Amino acid sequence: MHIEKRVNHLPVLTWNRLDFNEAVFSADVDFDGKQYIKETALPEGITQTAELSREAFAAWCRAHGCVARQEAVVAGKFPMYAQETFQTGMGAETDELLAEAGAKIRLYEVAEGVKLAQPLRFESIYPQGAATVDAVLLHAKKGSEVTLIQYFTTDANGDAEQGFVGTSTRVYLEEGAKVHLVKVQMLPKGFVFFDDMGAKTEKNAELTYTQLELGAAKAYLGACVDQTGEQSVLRADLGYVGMPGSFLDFNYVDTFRGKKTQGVMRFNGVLFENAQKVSRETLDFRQYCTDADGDEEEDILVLGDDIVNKANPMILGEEEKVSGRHAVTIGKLSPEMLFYMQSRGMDEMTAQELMVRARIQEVANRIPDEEIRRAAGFYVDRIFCDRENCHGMCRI
Amino acid sequence: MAENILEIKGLSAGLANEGEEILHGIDLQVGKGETHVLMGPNGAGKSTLGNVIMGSPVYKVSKGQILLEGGEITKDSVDARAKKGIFLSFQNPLEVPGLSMEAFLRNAIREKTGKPVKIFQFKKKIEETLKLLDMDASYVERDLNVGFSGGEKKKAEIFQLLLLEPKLAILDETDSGLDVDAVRTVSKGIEIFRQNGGTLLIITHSTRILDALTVDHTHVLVDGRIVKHGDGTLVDEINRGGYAKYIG
Amino acid sequence: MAEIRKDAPIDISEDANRELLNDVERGLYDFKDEEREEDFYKVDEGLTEEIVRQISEEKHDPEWMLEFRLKSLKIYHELKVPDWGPPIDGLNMDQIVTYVRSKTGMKGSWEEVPEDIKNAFEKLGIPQAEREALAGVGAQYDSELVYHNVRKDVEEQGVVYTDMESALTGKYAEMVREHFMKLVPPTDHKFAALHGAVWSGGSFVYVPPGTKVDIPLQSYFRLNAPGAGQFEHTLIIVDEGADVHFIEGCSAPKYNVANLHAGCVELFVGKNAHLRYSTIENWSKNMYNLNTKRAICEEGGTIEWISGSFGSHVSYLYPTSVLKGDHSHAEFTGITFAGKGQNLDTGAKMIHLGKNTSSFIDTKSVCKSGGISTYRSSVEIRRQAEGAKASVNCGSLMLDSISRSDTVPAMDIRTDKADVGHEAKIGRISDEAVFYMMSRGISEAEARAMIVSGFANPVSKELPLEYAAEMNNLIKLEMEMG
Repeated sequence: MHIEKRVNHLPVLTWNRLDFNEAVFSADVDFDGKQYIKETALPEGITQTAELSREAFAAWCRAHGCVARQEAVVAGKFPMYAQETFQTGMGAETDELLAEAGAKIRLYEVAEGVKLAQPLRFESIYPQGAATVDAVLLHAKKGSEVTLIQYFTTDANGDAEQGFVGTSTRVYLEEGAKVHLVKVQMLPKGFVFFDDMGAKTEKNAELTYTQLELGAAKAYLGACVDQTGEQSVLRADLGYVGMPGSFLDFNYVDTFRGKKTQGVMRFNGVLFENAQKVSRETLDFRQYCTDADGDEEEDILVLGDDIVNKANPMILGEEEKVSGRHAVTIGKLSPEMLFYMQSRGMDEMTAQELMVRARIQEVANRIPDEEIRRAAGFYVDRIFCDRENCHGMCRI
Repeated sequence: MAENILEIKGLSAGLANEGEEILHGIDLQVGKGETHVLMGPNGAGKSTLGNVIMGSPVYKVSKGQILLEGGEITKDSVDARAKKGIFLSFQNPLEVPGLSMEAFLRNAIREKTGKPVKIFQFKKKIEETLKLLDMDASYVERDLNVGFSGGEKKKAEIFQLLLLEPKLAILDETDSGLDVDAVRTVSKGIEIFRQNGGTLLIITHSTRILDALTVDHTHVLVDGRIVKHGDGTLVDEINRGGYAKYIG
Repeated sequence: MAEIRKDAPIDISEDANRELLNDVERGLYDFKDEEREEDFYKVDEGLTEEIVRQISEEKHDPEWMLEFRLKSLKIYHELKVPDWGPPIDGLNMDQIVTYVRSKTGMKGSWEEVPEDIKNAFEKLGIPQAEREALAGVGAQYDSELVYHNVRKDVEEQGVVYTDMESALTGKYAEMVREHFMKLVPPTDHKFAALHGAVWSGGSFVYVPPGTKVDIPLQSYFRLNAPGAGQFEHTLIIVDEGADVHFIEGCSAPKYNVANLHAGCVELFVGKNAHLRYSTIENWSKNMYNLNTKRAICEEGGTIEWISGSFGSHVSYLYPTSVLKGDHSHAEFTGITFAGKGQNLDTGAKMIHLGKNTSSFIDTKSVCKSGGISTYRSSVEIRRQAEGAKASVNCGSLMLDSISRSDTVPAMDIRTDKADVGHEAKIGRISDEAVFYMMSRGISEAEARAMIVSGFANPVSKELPLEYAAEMNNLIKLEMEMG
């Protein structure tokens, strides 16, 4: 079937000709109705509901999504706000896709006060031609702690080259809950991938979101975090590599509602020749979020010609008593950095390679899974090995 | 006199994007295994000279030559100079999140030798060096210079110096703004480097790390010109009398 | 589709100039969007061919200008109202009397200007300013220029500063025709088309090669008639190696009927030329200010925009710099102050085409008493613009929490050989700073006004002294108003 979805809406619009306002995501795909997820055994304190009905899914979203109250209608700005009952970064049409693809919706509930020491790991190993979408709802009850790792990959020795893979995750953090959500995507060059995320944080809750995007031909990512509860905290890190000819489109929105909420978002990317990337990063300070603090930074290392590199880091302010910053740096290695590296004997190529590794490693180091960290390292090795400039540096 | 490791002939240089010269016809010889000190008031061009020897793209050489062990390197790339054995300590070394000092050094050594680094030997060398400098093992695991204090950064530079084993080390204001502990580490590192036959060109305006060192030659740089060559005693003389007699 | 359009390589040889400009024009379509018709609010057209013909006749347009106006009118009817910015629903195009002018013609001496118009300008201190600091002054009242004067010594340098109508038929008619609405074509957006159809008044400036004008030229615009539109056209050509500073000031009294300002400014900066264009805008709070300003720089040319936006009910204002020539440079320094009932959408656009071009944006916005201020920008670095450098720095100061401040800075970079840096901050006046100043005997209101003035300092310090003073007065005034 042919799907065409409008996703990753900019929270406020800008000039149409810049093609930033949304992304149109289309594909011809016949969903195979299969699940490829391998789960670690669930420890005590966490329960799973294997297949939520669409009604139960909608009810869950209504129950735990942001309370629909009259948003300040931003004069002249088409409010994209609150179109979903539990907002995600990619937007409402992704939920339509869940239905169309017949995605199984799994609900995980971490009981009150339960602190899971070991991360949960959901590993999806896709075969050639896989066409599937899955959805996870994670409910971390009062004071609970959990790390969930979602790992999207293919069999290293297999023949998988193409596929269509999507995932949707909604996380609800009750008061004082701590969740570390990790997403790692290492799909082959022919895959189309989307990853939609939405979260709501209650008082004193802490969400850490670590995302590593290393593969696929086309990837669409969305993340929307609604910091409803006061003093809740978000730390988001995205590391990405835009391989030659690849396309990446993402939309991250941090909405500050509660008092003294804090949000930090870091984007570390590398673009090789012919890569295309569109990024939207928004700090949205809503009225009454007094003393909220938001900080967002994107750093893009550009290592090849003929690229498309679009960024729109926005700050929206309805509340006076806040502090928000964002910064973007785009370019090659700075001359100072290059000089430092070279003064220790490295040529330009090596210095660049080290920087690529450093960027990815910096994000990978945040993932509490040794095997995945190592796999990420190998993945980067292979980038340089596949490329003409391979000079025997890789460990393969 | 020992065989020259570094020879500078009639070197003039300035900022690459501006016309004005900072160094005017510098002549300098540094013999193998010797310790030289380059002194001078602020703005004399001391750091410029160190950077120009390393080949910093910020500066442009307009006249003259730089020779390393008799071979001209004036037009060499920065990494070529490093591979030939020059090391410059940075006043403010750059931070690289995600890259551990260990990975950084492993790459640097592999580049220099052109051979894969033998991990066991490398680790052993790291341990020994840390011990010699009385430094914490966490240094090498931390991301390169990230979140290092001023003193830690300078200690890390000295640590790199001992691991990379260059022939000539140019230490630029390595002792400025250091606490006693850091000065001790830095001095110790320098002493070890020297004992192993290393040649030193120390750029400084204070002299704390020099107290523990035997200085062979001292050069005074004023307004981009070397106005005085002398032996180690010149350091004491300047400490007493300052630069006044060399200015104007 | 999801794919991003890649721009075709642009030939920058002299022969390809025409095409280059076309490409730029196409690229600058702001209000155009073909795919989503149903999403648009469409205005009723209060404008007919008859009205346009009448304007043209009264103005004694050359034949080509009538054709141009009619073509623009057609485009105007085809284009849609922008869907991405502040609402302009309050602007009923039917009620905009597009052409209002005083019965008197233009005067060369201040004494001849009718008393009531003169009074209005006297209040604004125009002749006084002229005496003190200006090389030439033009004053537009509603649709026509009522006063125009250039200092003799400046005239003797060969500098041309005249009203657009005279320029159309005078010695520089051909030059005007070659440049008129070439940089901002009527197809650019709906209000550019409207401008093309009904424009009236404005100034023409030509600075010959190598000429440096030491003192600024100034134009002052005032819209007095209720429910009127002002559509002045400013065309400035700074020839090779020349240097000039142009200042425009705008104001209008308050009426209950919406007013529309859809002016157009086209600036051509020649090889190694330098142009500084300063604006202090204080339209009344019922004005829809949909102004289009654009500059194109040849090799080594520099455009500097200084912009203070205080007035208007709604503003759409994004001076654009097209850095066509290698090593050309653009700077934009601006402040926007949105008070009660104001929705000011302002910023800048930088388009890098030439190699080693550089652009620099530094903006401040302040909002208060329910005002909405949006900083909106785009920095585009095209594929061929190797060695380009761009830097954006914007700060927002919110003075209460019923106001709103948004920052929407898009970047589109198509080459790996570019350096781009961007920084933005949002915040408030720190209580500590106010406390500190009060502890030294300054009142709270005064302290806050001083802090805001300090925040605006990067802009005011770029202005001639009397304008900086005016700007500080405006800030004080805005701070005092509820």
